[in-house]
This record gives sequence, C-alpha cells and structure tokens, in this order.
Amino acid sequence: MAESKTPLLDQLEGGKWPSFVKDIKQAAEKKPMAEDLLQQLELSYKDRIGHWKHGGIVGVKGYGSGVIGRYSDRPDLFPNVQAFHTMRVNHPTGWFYKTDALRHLCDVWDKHGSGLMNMHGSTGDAILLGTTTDHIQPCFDDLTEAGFDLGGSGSALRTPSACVGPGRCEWACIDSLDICYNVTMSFQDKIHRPMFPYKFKIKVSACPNDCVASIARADFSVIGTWKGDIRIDQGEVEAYAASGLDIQKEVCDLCPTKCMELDGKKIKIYNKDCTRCMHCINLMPKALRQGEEKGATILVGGKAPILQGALLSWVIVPFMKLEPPYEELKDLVLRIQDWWDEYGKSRERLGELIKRLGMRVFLRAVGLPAVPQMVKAPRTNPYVFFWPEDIKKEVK
Amino acid sequence: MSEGLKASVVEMFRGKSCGDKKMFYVRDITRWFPGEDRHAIQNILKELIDEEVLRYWSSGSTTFIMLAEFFPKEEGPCSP
Repeated sequence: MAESKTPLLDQLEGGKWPSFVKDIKQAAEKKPMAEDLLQQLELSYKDRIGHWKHGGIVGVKGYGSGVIGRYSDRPDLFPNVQAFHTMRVNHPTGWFYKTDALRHLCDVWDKHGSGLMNMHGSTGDAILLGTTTDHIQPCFDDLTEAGFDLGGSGSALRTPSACVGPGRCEWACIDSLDICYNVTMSFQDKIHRPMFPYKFKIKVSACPNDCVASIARADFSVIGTWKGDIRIDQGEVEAYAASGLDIQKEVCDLCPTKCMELDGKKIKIYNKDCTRCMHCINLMPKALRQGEEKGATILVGGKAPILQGALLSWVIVPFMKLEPPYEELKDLVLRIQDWWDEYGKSRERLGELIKRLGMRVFLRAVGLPAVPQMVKAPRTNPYVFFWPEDIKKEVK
Repeated sequence: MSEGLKASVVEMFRGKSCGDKKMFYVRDITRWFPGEDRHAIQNILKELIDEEVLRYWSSGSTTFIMLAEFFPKEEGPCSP
C-alpha cells in the first residue's frame, strides 16, 4: 500500500465525527486547489505554524468587505493555493434556503473556486473557501445573478443574523426574520463600506432561549421576551405529571430563581421573580406559554475573546415593542454606533469601550435612562453608577 | 462636499505615507482633521475609494485604508 502523503491529517479522520479532512480529500479528486490545500495543511501540522499570509484584497467594485484575502507563504511548494481568498456570502435570514438556491450556490463556487464551503461561519454567512483574484469579480457577478450578496468583513457591520423565529418556532416573541432582514437592508452601506473602528455584530433571537447566542457574540443583541404572567394550562400540567414528568424535580427545583411551586397537581408561578430563562416553558410547552404582550430586550457589548476577554451583553432596554419598520430599534443602533465610532479606539469593540468609559457615560450619550433591569451579569448586582447631580437630587 | 478638504485628505495621505507605514485605520485618518466633522471625512474617504485614489486593505477582521499606488502587488495568478 502506498504511503499516505498526509499522515498527520489522516489522524483527524479517525474520530467519531465527520472530518473536514475527508471533505477536502473528496474535493481534491476534482480540484488541484483542494489538493494543495491539503498538502499545505499537512505542512502546517508538521511545522506547527500556519502557512497563510493574511490580508490584502478586500472586495469587488464598490465593496470594501465580503472578500478576505489569503495567500500561501509557500507558493513554491503549493502553487495552486498561492491565492486562496475567502468570500463571505450573506445568508438568507434564518438560513432558509430552497434546494435550487443551494445548488446554484454550489455551481457558482465549483465554477469560480475550490468547491469547498463552510456552511456556515460563526457570523452566519455562507463561507466560500478558496478562489483566485481574477475570479472574485466574475464570481460576485454570478452570485448576484443568483440573488446572493456578499456579507460583512473587516471593520464593518457584519452580516446580521437571526434565529429561525416564527418560521418554525412556537416560542418566538418577535419576528426575528423580518427584523434581521429589515436591519440588513437598512444598513447596506455599513456592511459593504467599512468605516468603523472595528467589527460590529447584530444578532436577533426571537425568545430568551437565544438560539443564535446573541448575548455572547453580538455587540447589539435583540432577544425576544414578554411582559405579564406566564400563561398556565393546569389540565396540561396534570397531563405532563401523568406522563411521568417529575415536575417538582425537573421543573420547579431547576428554576434558577425558584419562582414556581407545585401545589398538589397545580403549578403556581411568582412571575415577579421570573427571569425568563425559559426552562419551564421548554420542558412543558403544552402547559406553559409566555405572557401575551411580546417585545424584545436590547443588550449591548457581547464579544468573544480577541483583544480583551470575552464579554456577555448587558441589558440596556428591558422591553421594546418591535413592529415594522422598527424605527426605534434602528435609531438606537445608529446612536450607539455613532458614539462608538466617535470615542472607540481602533480595534476596540463596543463592550470594551463601555467598560473603559463607563456605562453611565454610554447611557447619557445614547439618551437612555438607567433602570434596575440593567445588570452586569444575570442575577448579580446592579452596575449603574449615578452621576453626582443625581445623588444630590436624591439626598434633597 | 468640499473639494478643498478632499485635496487635503489626499495630501495628508501622501505626507503620512512617506515612511514605512502606508496603511491607516479610519479612526486615525479622522483624527488628522480634528476640526472637521468625522462623517464628512468618512464620506470623502468613500469617494476617494470610488475614484481609486485610495484602497481598502483588510486582514479579514480589521480594515485599513491606503493610497492605491502603495497597494501590494500580487504575484502571478493561477486558476482554481
């Protein structure tokens, strides 16, 4: 048997889960680019160093983002990945593709690139991996013809993303799909023409389950919520108990604020103590439903650890009614971005800027009142420090 | 849009690009003109990019702007 040219990568195929190595090998049967990618990756594992040169080319005519330049630092060994640019394609909101659209996307990428795709990147875009400079514009033209647009990259508004929301989910408190689409269309210039100090991400989750993890990954998080009492169908509560669900142990005891109790066969909820964690509703969807008045909580400042440590988003608007055309929401986004653009250092995320200058400075700048629901982290102390004049007023 | 300000932006770019540093953050550029409206400078940058006097350069996570003449030349292209 011939000796493998990629012994280190081969080990990655041995695991329990499908391996990207297998996918690249499959692509390599048709594309020399994928073959060279495999070999360069093997060399990276051997040398314990990446062999990509980052940066450079950034887009197609009129765009400053959406294409990420990548070059091999060993074009002598791997000429087919000398240029291996990534294209970020703005995904359909909620990732709802028709199969013909997916096929079209694949055809375009087979024609212009390596054929390798990442569905999807952490921002949400469809990531098309590996094309050459001369193919960027024709690829974009074909993508446009198929109804796709490029997403955000660099110091721009990144492609907004949303959970499937009312498209498939009974817990949706807001139309996350429509909000995301509306925001995307309204802020096209900010996505395609990078002018910010750094990246800015907007994510929309339709309920507090937060399926797009907006609280951890977005500078501006919109999370669906409700006002009023959780609606209870006591008959269905009994049915759950009869079906074997240990409501005391699995629902009441696991409630983080202990805001519910089982009284015989009936459940009682102290709604004022509820933090909308969704645990009880997730477990007994037929018996418990969210309150009738629906809207969203707005949070800011979430980010993954790059320059500074990871931050969770902080509540700045506990409840906002969200209805088309979402002017209140978009106006708030613009005020926040403008403040951040004015005072942020280069490569400083919104959360880091708020941490540096203080939440009270931020609140005053964007014209929001300090309210008790603004907490630094779930179920911990209030973090808002009042202005000296406010304290004086209180003392009087 | 002030043509005078636009010319000043280009002139400033030329002056700042004399040394080794050729790429600048948008934030740095707006700070070159402390008395001017930041949005006006950003609009001028967009226009100069459209006119191909300036070019974006991005690492993928961060974007810089530079004079088009200093944009790195590529090595020979190859087909996928």
